[in-house]
Amino acid sequence: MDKIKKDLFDLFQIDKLPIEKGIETLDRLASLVFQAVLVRTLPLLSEEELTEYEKITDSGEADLLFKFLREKFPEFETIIQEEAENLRAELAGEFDTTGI
Amino acid sequence: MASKNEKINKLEAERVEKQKKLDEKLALLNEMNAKKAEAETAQKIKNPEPLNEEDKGIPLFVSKDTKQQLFDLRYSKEDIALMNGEQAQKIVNNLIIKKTNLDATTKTQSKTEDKKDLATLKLESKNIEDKKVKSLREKIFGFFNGKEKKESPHEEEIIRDMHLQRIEESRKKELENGPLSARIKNGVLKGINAWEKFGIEEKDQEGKVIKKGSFWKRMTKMGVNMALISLISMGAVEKLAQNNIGTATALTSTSFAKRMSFGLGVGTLIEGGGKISPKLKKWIPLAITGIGIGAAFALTGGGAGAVAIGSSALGFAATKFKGIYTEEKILKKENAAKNAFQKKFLSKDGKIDTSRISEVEKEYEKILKKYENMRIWGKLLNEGTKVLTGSAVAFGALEASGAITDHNRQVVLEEQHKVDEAAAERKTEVDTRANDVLKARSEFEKLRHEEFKTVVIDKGGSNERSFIHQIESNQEKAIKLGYNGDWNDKKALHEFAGIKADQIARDTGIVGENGEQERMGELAIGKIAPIIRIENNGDITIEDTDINGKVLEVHHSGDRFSENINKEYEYNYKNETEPVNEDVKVTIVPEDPNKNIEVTDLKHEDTPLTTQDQNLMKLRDEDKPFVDDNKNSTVVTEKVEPEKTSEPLKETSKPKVEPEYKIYDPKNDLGNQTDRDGEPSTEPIHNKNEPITESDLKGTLERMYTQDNLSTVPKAIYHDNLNHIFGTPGEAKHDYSLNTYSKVENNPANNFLEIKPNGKWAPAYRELHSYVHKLEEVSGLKPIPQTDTHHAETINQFIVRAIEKIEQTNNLDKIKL
Repeated sequence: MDKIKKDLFDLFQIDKLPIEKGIETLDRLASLVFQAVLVRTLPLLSEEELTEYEKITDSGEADLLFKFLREKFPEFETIIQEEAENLRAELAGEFDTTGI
Repeated sequence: MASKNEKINKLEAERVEKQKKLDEKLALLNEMNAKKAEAETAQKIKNPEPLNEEDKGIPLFVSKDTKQQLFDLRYSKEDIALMNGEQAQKIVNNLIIKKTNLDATTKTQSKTEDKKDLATLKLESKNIEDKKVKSLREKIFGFFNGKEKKESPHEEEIIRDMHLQRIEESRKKELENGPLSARIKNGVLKGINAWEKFGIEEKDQEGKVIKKGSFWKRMTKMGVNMALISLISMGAVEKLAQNNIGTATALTSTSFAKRMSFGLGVGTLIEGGGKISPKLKKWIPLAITGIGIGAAFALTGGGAGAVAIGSSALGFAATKFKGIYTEEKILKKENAAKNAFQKKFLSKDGKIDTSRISEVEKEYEKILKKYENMRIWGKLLNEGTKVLTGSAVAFGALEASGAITDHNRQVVLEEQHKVDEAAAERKTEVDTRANDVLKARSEFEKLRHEEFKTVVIDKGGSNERSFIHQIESNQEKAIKLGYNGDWNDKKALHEFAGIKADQIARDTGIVGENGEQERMGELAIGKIAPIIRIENNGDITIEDTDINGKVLEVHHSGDRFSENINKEYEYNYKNETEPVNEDVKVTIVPEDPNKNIEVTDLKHEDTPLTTQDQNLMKLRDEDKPFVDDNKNSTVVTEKVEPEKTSEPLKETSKPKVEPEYKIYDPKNDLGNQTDRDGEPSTEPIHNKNEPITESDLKGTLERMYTQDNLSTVPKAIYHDNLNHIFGTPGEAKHDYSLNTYSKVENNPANNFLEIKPNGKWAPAYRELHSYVHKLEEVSGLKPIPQTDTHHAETINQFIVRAIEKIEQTNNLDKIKL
């Protein structure tokens, strides 16, 4: 039987969770994707670019990280989509095994 | 021969003896090992060990009982624990064996006790069977056969959470043990940590807040997180409205966070073909509520820590602000604004200056739109819970209206807890940290009341005396009002305060043109204080505030002195000579952080929404002087007096100060001959349309200093600060008069700093003046003056150069506005 592909929101049924739990789950999933994105992209930065990145992390303006990465990597959004899909597929597989 | 045999026998005996001892030792060792193993097993059963590495990732069995059940399963004698195919089969086999043994035991018992009837024996065997084992067996069989339904959704939630946790730990281990360099690994961790903390309130170990939270940052974070997990596209995030509060993010170009805060019609707001599922669309407003309320209670280490409050909270938030914008109040505000407008733009014979037509149109439209929007908000808030909960407008929408700020959110929560039935049912679920915050707030209120002192003025004392003391006691206020001298120079400060106090009193109608004054009467002594409020656009208002923080009357810039004063505590003092009482003690009423913000102009959004949505979208406020995390709020509530005609002008001994702001004209105000004797007046280095070339600065500076050369963080600060002073294009602050940075950025910086701002300068230029002085102080640099062969360093060049220097010395935090 074909299964409908569920996104992460549906996999975790975030809308059915208590609000704070839903937000927390969203944050945790996003952190995992962001971590994977950073693991892929940071090694490709030059020395100067890495120094600039480190300054941004210390500045308290973390949203500038995304601007910075977008400027350095034109394919940034594609990387995000790929890592999000990797996470989704991994979790969906495990959920299937568990029967949920 | 005999001796040889004896020797052999002796040796043999010795060997046997040794062997015997060895065997004894071995037996003793085995006994000890057996005891040890038995003890370890007993210990394992009592205190289960954590999962081994190889056991992680295997789907865990969750029974309908508590978590302890898991450990029992894992460390039972049959070693039932984790499940993969092999292990699970082992578990099943063991259970089958156990059941077989139980059945055999039952049968044996039935044979020997044949006096009992069969029914009794069956019942006994049933009771004998381990209920726990039976339950477990059924679950495990069901697990493999797919026949067993899950006990409850809660179990599934636990399983999902455990999977997520496993992956988090797995990824963490991969990072730690992976081949990346230490620097890269650290960079990844720092990036994650920085993002997790974004917008979250941080406290030190003593519980003191070291960094305030930001609702709008958390909103941005939620949008970006949804993009990260591909619920919406990152491109869609970029195209949303800019969040111009708090951060210099270039992720958004328009007020994304504010659009998000309305909650409705999100799908139509996101351009670029981004698709949003209906579930997500419904969930977002509730999530915004959670972010808005709960994040106030977040503790160090990240995490929302939000209190679970549903849409019923919105109703009570609305209840609290019912009546804040009645038609009567709006009409009074509107009339006052129109009067001020007429005074500003009409000549004495009632005609409009045709050279200022575009400015006039903008100003009038601004007034109309402002009060139109206020009427919309009034309608929404006055209609109470039905409107807001029905439209699912989140808490953030109320915050966007200015009715709720980061500071008074706790107040709403507190009230909500008192009356919300739904919250009462869930009261036990409320995060205890929320209660701690409420408790701390009540303690703060008590402290504030004790500290609340009023202006103690001698009978007949003037408001100006209070103004002087307010300016002299509050450095920030003094700077905002234009003081750029040495704070420790009391004489200069007092002189400035005196001039300013007089100007403010006349500008706000407290002092009339012919010397009459409003003064505090006996009923006001010790009870009421006239507080200077400076709005973000530079407008000054005076709020007569009582000891509880309630504003009784507001005087605006442009108000005329009125005979019809508040007779409860004021009277009309007509004496051209103000008594100077140096012995008068004045205590300043502290700023009350729990003030609401007035809604200001908002731009209309053409989106295909419902009528209510459209009304809400009209209120998307990019002009509102929103409360920054580190700023005091300003308040406008008012009791507007009807306009009275004034008496004919009389000569007074005091200088007449024009309340209107004049456009800063560099040719007239800069390089005034009387300011610098003997020096020629300067003009802008070059036409603003002509770029500065390197030859202009050859030998003066080693290279061109432009903001484009700044790295990311200092560049953001550069833009943020200028937007703070002059407003972002599109904001009312930016459109107000013609005061833009571009008119002065190419003027000589050294000349600019030498000039003392006077009352004719627009607030934005006064603020720029203070800002450039600050850059000078923090960087230690001085603007380079003109020489015989080279132009002087411009204001913008100096700003860029100073910011670069400040970045090198890691002092950027000191110059953030």
